[in-house]
Amino acid sequence: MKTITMKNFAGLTYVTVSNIPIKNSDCGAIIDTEPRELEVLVAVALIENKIPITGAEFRLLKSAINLSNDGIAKMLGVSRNTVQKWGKEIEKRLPTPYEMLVRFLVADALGIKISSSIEELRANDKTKKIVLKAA
Amino acid sequence: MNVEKKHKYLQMTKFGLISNMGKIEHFIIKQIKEERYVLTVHVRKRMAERFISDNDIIEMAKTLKSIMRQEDNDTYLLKGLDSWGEQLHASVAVRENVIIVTIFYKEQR
Repeated sequence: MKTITMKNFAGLTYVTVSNIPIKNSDCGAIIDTEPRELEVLVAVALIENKIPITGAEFRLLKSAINLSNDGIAKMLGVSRNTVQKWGKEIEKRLPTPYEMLVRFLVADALGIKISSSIEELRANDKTKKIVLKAA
Repeated sequence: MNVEKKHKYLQMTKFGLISNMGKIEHFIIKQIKEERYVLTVHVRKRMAERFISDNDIIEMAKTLKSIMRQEDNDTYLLKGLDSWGEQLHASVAVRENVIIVTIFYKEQR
């Protein structure tokens, strides 16, 4: 089975995913995984590594848990416009309380065990290099 | 030759897609909505550059404005909106799977 390594996965400069299965087609190399499969893999790592959530991470996390903007807005008690704003401001970090809620929401949706204590829900201040294996 | 005349255009109306949409077009839209598609390596790289997620591709199919056959390379051009309300376009090939071949935002190709 052929595999490739992708750096900057989902635009996140610190994320590298290796061992991604590919196969050839007349349209070029195809990634041989289900939709969202790689996004879920990265989302789990973002939550477990307590990565700060900017718009870029928010986009990936939202996709990994397959929730609409309206769905997230309802769950977090904010307006749809607020959720839109979080996703559009790629480099801006979410306000701390919402960052904690998003971490909790994603962890719950993906079945990741995290402590619900305030200190544990708080993300780190900086990102760190993440290298993942897809298969 | 006017490129648009060469292609079969299918526009969205308030009543849904107009009636001349063929079986293949229906199939493509259904497959993407139901998350049965694959991405080329090229597309995954473009997605990273533009922060496009799988959710955005599925949302584009759900909000489809038009689907057009591109005879020169045997693909279909889909135009819809991503999760953030931006006009997202995708070029799709039908082989044993529905393959997303290219993805770009309006006027970004």
